[in-house]
Amino acid sequence: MNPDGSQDLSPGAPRPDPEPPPEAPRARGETRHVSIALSVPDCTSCDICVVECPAWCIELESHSEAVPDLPPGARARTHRVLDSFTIDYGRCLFCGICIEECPFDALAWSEVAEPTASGRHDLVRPLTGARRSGATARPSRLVEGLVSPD
Amino acid sequence: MPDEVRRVEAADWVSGVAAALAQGWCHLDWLGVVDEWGRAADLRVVLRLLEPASAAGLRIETLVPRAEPVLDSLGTLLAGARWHEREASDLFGVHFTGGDDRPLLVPAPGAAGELREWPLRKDAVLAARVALPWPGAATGDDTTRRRLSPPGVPAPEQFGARPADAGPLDAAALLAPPRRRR
Amino acid sequence: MRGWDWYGDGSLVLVDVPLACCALEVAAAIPTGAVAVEWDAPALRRVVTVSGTVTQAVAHDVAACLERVRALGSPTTVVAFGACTGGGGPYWDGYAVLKGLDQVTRVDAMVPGCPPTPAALSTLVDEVRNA
Repeated sequence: MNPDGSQDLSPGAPRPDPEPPPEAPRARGETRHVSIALSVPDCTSCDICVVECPAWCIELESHSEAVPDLPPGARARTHRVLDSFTIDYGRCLFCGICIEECPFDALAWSEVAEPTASGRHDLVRPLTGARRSGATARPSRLVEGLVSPD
Repeated sequence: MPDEVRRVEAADWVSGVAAALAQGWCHLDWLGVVDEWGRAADLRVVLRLLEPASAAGLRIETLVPRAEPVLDSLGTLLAGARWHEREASDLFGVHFTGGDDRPLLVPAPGAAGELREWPLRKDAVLAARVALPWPGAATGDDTTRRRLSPPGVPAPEQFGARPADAGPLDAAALLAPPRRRR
Repeated sequence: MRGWDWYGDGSLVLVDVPLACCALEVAAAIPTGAVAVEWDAPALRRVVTVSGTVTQAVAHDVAACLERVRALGSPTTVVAFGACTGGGGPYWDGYAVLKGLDQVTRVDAMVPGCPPTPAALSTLVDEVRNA
């Protein structure tokens, strides 16, 4: 601390312990916007989130399947089945439009952090629980110039 | 608490704001614009003021026609509004009479025939996306979904190479107004 | 250019290249025991974060900053912090915007988010220190 009481910001000076800020009061049901989560059983592959995303960061693949176990005499019907759902976190701006627009409430804010990515392609994340296609950012790859055992 | 919202005629813009200031809404929060393209051929100019003690908000709005968006400047009432007006002028093309008309970010219009657009208007062309595949296009075996086009992006055949005898690019015809539900 | 001796023990110095909003989250991640140091203070490990949109205008200077830190010799981790440095973020189609920091330099880690939480950075720095 400087003689006048101001914080000493010179190199080498330790920072004083700040008082932790009071926890912001949360409205009921409010979730921190750390990532976006998909409830696969609720997703009908309608593509509305894909169409509405201003950053074009959602990709959804689906296919048609015949609806099984129809009552006798019913006409044959098909429905869409979700194959893959990814968000490109290299573009996603966390606007929340996809979450608002989903007619089935299949998308929601999540407090689960997305792990650090090893590269550009690893920023494309599947929301279905499928395996990530990009290489994982393993600690030994994090540091350039570090000799790693593996 | 939600903001109080007042709509005034463009001719009463300055007097309407003066009245609000006199009532105690004396802190300038921001002045912005909403492009009503798809609902009306207007730009909605919005001023948000705060009542300092309670932090309650008041939005005063007016409509100006998109083709000739002219409004009196609020600079004599709120000096800080001049900066917001310069930004509105740059991004939407609104002209504030008696205000500061120096561009803030966007250069002044160029040569005749150049595609002049204001970046935040809804008819601004997202040229960088014209040739990119849009994830929202119906693909594969999806024959049931209606064909849509991405907002702000004209079809490549309208925007790219055109016959040599085609006339000047008609900017107004590049995009259709968005379908607005709300 | 300021650096932060993150753990106050010379084990790791972090330098941020603050370009836009993500820089606030990097600042919020600085632990209470961190010590402000010169950017080239001695350290066993170095982390350089780039936080914010990388534009054409600053791309060269940002890359030059990173090279200067790498040239100090300690094992260095270059972190692209936030969507803008990952893939251009919301501005990926902007005419003056780089679609990610990795367009101009090698990047070791990309932290997703717009912005990422401060905790995302502090977790990563802990992993780098223990790598």
